Amino acid sequence: MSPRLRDFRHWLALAPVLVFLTVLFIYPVAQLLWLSVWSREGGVTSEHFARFFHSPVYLQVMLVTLKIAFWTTVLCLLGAYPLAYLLSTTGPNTRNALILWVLMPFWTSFLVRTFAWVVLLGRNGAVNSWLKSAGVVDESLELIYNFAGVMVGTTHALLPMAVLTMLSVMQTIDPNLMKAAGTLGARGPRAFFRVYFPLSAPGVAASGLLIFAVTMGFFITPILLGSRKESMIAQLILFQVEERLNWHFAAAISVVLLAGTAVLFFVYDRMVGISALAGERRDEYAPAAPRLARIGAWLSTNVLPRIGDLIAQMLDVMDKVLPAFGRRREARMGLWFVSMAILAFLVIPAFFLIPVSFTEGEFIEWPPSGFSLRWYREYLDSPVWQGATIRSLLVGVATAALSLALGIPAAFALTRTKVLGRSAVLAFTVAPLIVPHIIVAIGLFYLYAQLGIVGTSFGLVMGHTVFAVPYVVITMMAALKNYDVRLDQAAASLGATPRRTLFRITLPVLRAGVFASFIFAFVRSFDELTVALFVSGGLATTLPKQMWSDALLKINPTLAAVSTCLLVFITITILASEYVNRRKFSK
Amino acid sequence: MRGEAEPQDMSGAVAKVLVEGVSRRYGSVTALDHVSLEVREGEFLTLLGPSGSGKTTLLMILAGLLEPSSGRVWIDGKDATALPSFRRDIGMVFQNYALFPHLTIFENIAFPLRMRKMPHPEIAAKVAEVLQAVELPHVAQRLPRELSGGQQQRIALARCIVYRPSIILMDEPLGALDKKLRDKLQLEIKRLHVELGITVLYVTHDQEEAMVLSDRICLMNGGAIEQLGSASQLYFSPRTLFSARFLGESNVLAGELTESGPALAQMQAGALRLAGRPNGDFAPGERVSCMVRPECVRVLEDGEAADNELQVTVKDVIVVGGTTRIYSRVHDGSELLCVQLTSNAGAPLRPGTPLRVGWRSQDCVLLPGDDPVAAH
Repeated sequence: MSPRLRDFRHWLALAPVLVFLTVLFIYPVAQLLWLSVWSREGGVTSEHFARFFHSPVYLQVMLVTLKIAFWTTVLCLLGAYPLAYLLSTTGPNTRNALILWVLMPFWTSFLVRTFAWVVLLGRNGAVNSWLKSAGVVDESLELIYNFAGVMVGTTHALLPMAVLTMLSVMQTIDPNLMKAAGTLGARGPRAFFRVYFPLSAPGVAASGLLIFAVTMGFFITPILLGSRKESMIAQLILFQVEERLNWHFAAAISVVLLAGTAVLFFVYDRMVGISALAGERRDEYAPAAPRLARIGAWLSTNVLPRIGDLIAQMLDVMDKVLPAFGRRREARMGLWFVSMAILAFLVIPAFFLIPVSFTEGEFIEWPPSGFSLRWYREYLDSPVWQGATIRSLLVGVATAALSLALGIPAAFALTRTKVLGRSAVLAFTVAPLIVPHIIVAIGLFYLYAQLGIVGTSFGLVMGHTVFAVPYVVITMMAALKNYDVRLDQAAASLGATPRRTLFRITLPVLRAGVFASFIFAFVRSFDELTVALFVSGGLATTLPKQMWSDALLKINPTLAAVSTCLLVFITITILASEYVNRRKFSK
Repeated sequence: MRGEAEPQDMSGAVAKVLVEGVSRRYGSVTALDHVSLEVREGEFLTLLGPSGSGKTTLLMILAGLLEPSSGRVWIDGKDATALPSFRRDIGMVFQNYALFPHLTIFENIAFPLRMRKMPHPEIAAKVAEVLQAVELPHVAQRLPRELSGGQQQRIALARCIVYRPSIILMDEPLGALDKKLRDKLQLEIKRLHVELGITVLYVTHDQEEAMVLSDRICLMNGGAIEQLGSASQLYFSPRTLFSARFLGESNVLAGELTESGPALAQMQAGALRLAGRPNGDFAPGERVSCMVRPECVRVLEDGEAADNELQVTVKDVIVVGGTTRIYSRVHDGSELLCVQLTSNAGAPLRPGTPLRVGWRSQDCVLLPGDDPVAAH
């Protein structure tokens, strides 16, 4: 096969995903950009933007959005760092076990997690009931439906992502460096702040940018856990589309949100490269963004060590007062304690839904009164809930199948070749993870309305695949990166044709990755609300959308029952896949 | 064993493998530059060279796992340049063995037989037989990761010989093993080669391994063949300074040719006049180097004479078991190493002692060029 022919074949493998994303991702978003500068009467105009920037109400929403994004970022970074540090410095077995727990909320439905916080922190929630019975307070405290409530929700949602982003950088830090620093005379804390922390700083910066950008597009959390004062920019878009049917203005707000996200990801790209989202490290010699690189270098050679020394000196002083402090064992124990507390924050809330779902009462309250299965009966007997559940399952399986069909060939082409523009193609493929979902969702809504496929399962599958395909590509690329190409070469030298090599060697060896991709894509679709909110209408509703509609009225025990079923279902799926992987690969 | 292979070769000079002007470029980098090579039926040929010399690239091209940018590959007289790997009658043993991690040892070895659609009972018999041959009959039901490195290596070998390919390609197959195991497996590979009469192409960067195993060694450097010949040809008659330095230890004295001749030439290195076998057609005045192996340099007794003699000062003397290494300095500052059998007789040499050393003119070669890099 000549090199040119091979190049052609790799482009052929990339073509389906590129065409798919162009039609269902780029085109709808571009249409929005067009709408934003198009007057209702026709003609190019800046009136929609002028309206946005001249209204103090909208500007206020923008400020609130930035404020929420900022504090979420701060909280996520503070919470994620110790956990990521523990994970990167512990043995592989402990790490794998802990990562499973970190990922737990990631797998748990977004809505389920939000409901859990209502059960835990609501007026009649668990925390208030304990505080009252302990006599700390007389009246229930307002723990949610305010800024703090939104913070809890967003931090809980994004902390796992922050941990994983930091971890990917921390795992590349050679543990011998800390030992070397020790032999060179730097004691524990000093070595940490002079050596480890500066080296991990790129990971902190990367996850900070990521969290900030993602939070800006949130709207479910502020609606369910905040008050009117915590309205975010994505809610404005939702409102304009759903209530006002003002597409042009909604498009203009989308452009503002998109521009904000784009700026952040531009900085992110300069710092670590967009392809880092796909687990790729930028070539160290790439002369990208010399100025930013210089700022980074200056920070890590001048500022960070100073801060480190300062903290180390403070610790030295504290050492004299409190001799136990700073000793390795105690420090390690402290780290474990803090990390476990953060893990508990991540994992425990969801379990509060389970007892509530068995209540006899009409409302969500803590402690639940009595025991009954009536809410489960309610869920399982309702044709609406049944239909929604079945549709979600079918759409999930179809989405996963389509995503694998599009994503696996692309992952092969992207890992196995150095085709021209490879990193651009990769960035394009993961772009749907970057663009706020609501923008893609209303873009698709607009497109589907033109095509007349709003409310169809077909449209839903296509829309979900836009978000699921990047996960498949990323997961398969990671699996392929650890795949030894010599296995294929060996098979070929032993007489296997390319097709037999693929089905007898490559895919079986990669089956963990294929399986994980399928689960990933399925769960993404099964849990997806934003696209479903617009695209699935009337009777053709999905489970998350049905939950959402219910929750907007009142968070009731039926939702707790549905959530519990979801929790059990997802947990079994994940544990089963984990079991399959471990049994096959670590015997 | 060559004797057995010869009759089949009588039909004419059809080489088992013929490489014709093969090049391979990666962008602007040339990994292989117009290489031509002939491998004979039943031969054990080693591609030897430092990393980056193109030896693995050449092997991959022979295996059909890499296409040449230009040139042709012939196998058994047929053009195989465009033939995919699975249609060539070859076997390959990989550096890290490339055993399929999800298949048992039995299934790994059975894989090539299944690809050839061999019936089941026959497969079982063949696998058992080959496991016996590599002395691992009890591991059939295990997974590759449950075996030690040496065992995995043998299984990789077994998987390769089970379908009797007429050529086996090996890419540093012993690279990951420790010295002792390597020595043992080298002999085993040699035994299998003799028993099966297969043509073997072997890649290594270990000169000792190359000398132990090969009928011929193809020394590669910078994407081209530096020299091709038997181990002793390469050792005693290197054609270039690179060959001289890559195989074994060497003393190199640079100078200018004064008198050329077909069997013997003279050169002037500073104040020294040296005579040696010229390796090439030199004209008087040309820059040349005199290369002599350390074990050919003798310490001369009083009154003893040699074709080439020079005065040196002892720098260091190290006894390495059976041999003694005398490091010395020539008056012009260059260094000379002399290796002798260790002897208990006479007073030990001390640093600073002046010494007269010499060697026979047929023990040294005059090579083109005078690369100033020290030989050791």
